[in-house]
Amino acid sequence: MLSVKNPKDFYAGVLLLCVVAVYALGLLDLRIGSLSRPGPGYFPLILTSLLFVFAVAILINGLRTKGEPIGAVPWRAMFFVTAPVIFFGATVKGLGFVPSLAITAIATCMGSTQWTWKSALLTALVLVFFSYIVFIWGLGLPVALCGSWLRSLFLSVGVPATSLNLCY
Amino acid sequence: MRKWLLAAAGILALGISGASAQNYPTRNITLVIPFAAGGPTDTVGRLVAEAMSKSLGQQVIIENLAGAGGTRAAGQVAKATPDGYTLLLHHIGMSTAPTLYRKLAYNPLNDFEYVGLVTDAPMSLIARLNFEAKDLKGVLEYIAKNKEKTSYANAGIGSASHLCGMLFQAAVKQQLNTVNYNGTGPAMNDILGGHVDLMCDQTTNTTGQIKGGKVKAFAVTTKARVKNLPELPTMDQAGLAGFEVAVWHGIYAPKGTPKDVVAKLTDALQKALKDPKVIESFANLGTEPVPQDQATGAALVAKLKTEIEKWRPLIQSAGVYAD
Amino acid sequence: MEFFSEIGANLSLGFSQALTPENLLYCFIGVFLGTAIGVLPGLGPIATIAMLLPITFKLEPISALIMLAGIYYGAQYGGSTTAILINLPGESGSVVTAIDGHQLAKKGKAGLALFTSAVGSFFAGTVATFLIVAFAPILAQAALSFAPADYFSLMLMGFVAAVVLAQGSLLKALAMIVLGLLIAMVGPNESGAPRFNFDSPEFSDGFDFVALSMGVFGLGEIIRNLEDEKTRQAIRSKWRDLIPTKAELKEMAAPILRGTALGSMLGILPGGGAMLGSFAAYSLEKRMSKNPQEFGKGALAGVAGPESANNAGAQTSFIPMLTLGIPSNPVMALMLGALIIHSIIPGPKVVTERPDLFWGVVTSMWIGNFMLLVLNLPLIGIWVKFLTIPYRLLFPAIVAMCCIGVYSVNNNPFDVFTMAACGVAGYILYKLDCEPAPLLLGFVIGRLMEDYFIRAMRLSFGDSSVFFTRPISLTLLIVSAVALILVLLPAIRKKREEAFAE
Repeated sequence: MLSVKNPKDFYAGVLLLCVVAVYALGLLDLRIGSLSRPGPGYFPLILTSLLFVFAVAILINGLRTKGEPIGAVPWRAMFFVTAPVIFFGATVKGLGFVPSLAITAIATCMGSTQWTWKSALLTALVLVFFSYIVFIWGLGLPVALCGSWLRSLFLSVGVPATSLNLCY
Repeated sequence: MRKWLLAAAGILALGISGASAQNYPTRNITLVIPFAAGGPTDTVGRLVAEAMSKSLGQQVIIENLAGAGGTRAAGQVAKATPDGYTLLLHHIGMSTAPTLYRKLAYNPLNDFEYVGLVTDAPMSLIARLNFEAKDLKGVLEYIAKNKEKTSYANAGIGSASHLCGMLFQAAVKQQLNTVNYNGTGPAMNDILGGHVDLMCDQTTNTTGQIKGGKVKAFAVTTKARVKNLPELPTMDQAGLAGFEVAVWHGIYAPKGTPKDVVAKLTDALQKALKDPKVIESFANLGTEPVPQDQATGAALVAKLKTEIEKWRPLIQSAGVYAD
Repeated sequence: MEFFSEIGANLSLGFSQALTPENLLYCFIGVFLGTAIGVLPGLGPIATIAMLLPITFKLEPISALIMLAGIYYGAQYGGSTTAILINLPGESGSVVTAIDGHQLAKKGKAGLALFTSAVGSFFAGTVATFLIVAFAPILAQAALSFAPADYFSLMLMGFVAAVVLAQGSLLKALAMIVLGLLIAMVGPNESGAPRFNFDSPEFSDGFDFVALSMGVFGLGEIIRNLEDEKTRQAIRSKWRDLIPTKAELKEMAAPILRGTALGSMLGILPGGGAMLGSFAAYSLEKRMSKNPQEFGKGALAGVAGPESANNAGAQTSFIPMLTLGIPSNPVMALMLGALIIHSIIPGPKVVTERPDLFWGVVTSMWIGNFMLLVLNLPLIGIWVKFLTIPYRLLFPAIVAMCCIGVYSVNNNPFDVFTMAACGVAGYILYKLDCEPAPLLLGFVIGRLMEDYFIRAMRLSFGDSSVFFTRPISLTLLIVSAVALILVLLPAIRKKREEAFAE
């Protein structure tokens, strides 16, 4: 009777097999070539096969040897760490550096179970100020302080273009 | 509500300006370079940007947007706000991309406004130091004898050295053993180490090695000889009639950039190309600024059109694509 | 005798250039800026130099180069600080520093780890500078004899070093390296063919190292730390922990020596040797150590060796750039660009035509390393204090810095998304007892390994015997094979004992 005795190994094996499947799919489009003319698929084919062997071995380990359970996952932290990062990537151009970073910082603070509005706002303020000094003023990072979306928003409510110099 | 927004916008905006060319430019201009910092194109871009800043009265800042053989940067600039604050400096790759990339996200002839040509950088054919041939004739004999056993290094698909190699193989009517490197540095390393036979690359990259006596040099690829490599004949003189290639550079703006803004930029470019410091630095790169009548949008479009037509059959017959 | 008098003359020429008040100032500015920016997560030497390049246009070429060099090793040093304090390696060299350095920090010995790193780096920098002074042209010429086949074997040695690095299951470590290699396969290969992009333009250039590392290490670590937030306490370090005991000094001496030797040698190779230095040194220390089980749990030798190797490699990687005009990494490429802008054509003639520049820069590197030491020893106290900030305030700052840092590398939002995804992946890997360090090292050597393999095959027309007929390659292969057997033996023996026990 097969049962998962070592979940850490078992799921690692499963996960790696999923990776193998994705790469196998990608390999379908690639020319393998020969030893004298290795194609773009030559190296990946060797590596994918190797990973397949290792993944199966790890999976079998998970069925045969004893191991510890995986343990609880901090979903809240996971969400509040990754979602703000994605938000930053998605909005740094549109909203601009300052609003995007401020929202990202506030949202990240919520990842802690001990967060409060006061400390989150304060952290965001300090961070935005510090980053502005270091990255925009000091290093000249080429990014708008206030982005193109806000520019169109301001324009649509009648703000004259002449006063929207920092939004582009 | 509206008042509040107005106030907020007022705080955000510091200067007073308009979008028209009278006041343009009122803030820093970004010149996008489609390659990593430190390379020959980046160097050309930085020199021109600094000189253009002087006459524009605002800083022209370099943004390196490497990736996808330069097409990523070109695609982004094509889509940028056409206000004259985002520009592109691209080289010969602008004309080869439409053939090298079959799924190009922009049209070089349709999606831009054209500021002007900047410079035609010469290339030179070099070989490892212990290569048998003495001159270009010797190289041709070597190739005739060793055929596809002759190895040719380039800095990657779509690079200037790759294009020159393609043209060279078409000219000598012989496929060579092409070895692709990831940049000029590694390719030059293997030429110096004697592991690979030939390379044709921009004089920016080769002059130091030629003068240092670490490589053999046979010819330059321009119509006329190059000033700081006077001992080298042109390819045409040395035995490959009609062989000519130069890495030309142009400055582009997104389609829809106001005409007067483009005119102002062209003017700034022309002034920059007269700047003694630019002329001197270009000379050190083995190149010189284009004549003033070439630093115009019309000249750039014309060049782009003829070059696209020149490279299309070459790339197609070589059957090399980047996607 | 002549050899020494020549060195003496070169050194005095160099010092006469490097010790002018102006150049001392630029050296200091470079080192200071480099350290300050290098400690910011995600901002490594490349981004820093690219951003600060325009400033140097206004300077004399020698001052510009001295300042840029200062930024380079300053940023590298700053990066190690971040790796040790918050487990955030910003470049391949500090991945291994993070392993044991951060464990030491967690034990309240951050000061000791930083001290080791500072002293090791200084010693390595001194030796490497001397090597450049005495042997630069010879070494550069020797490095040229490495052909693509030899580099492939070198990368294979890196692969073995990454296996040795692993603490837990050997099988999982192997799987992680191969996974890293596979991740590196995303993006165009040497012939420009796109791979594994599934028709999405975003994937077409592959993944960025900084995004991957910041995600897997940085964000992954944060999620993990928030697991037991209630029980977690701020790390307390005492001031006096900074001063190492006699035993600790003795413990770090030999690893510093070995790391320096290994790093100096590998750094000379322009085709990607310097980045192998730190993890080759780590693997070496682990093999040499009497208590290899300490590695990964805060072994001092695991910081001393790699950090020395890293800095030695950083210095000697100037050799191919200054003597041949060949950049061994993007930072060196940037410096070449700076030279060109200053109307100096890089190449073999720089040494003879501009000896003032060459020797001035070389000697300034030693001065800069000394400044780094003087600057950073007092700073250690401040860095350690930094860890006493409550974590609920610290981690949002780290996340925000990571976002900006990763974005600034290519100004590409996709890199930020990659980092987020890698954060989740890094946490999952941790949960499944898979180590991230071998994965990252696999990623780093992946493309190089493939490129060198293909080039070697092209140049030999498919004759794979080149790997065994070239002496350099053969030597490297034998070393790798022996090392691999040494790693596998105990594991196999253990298996057999288990079998007997049953």
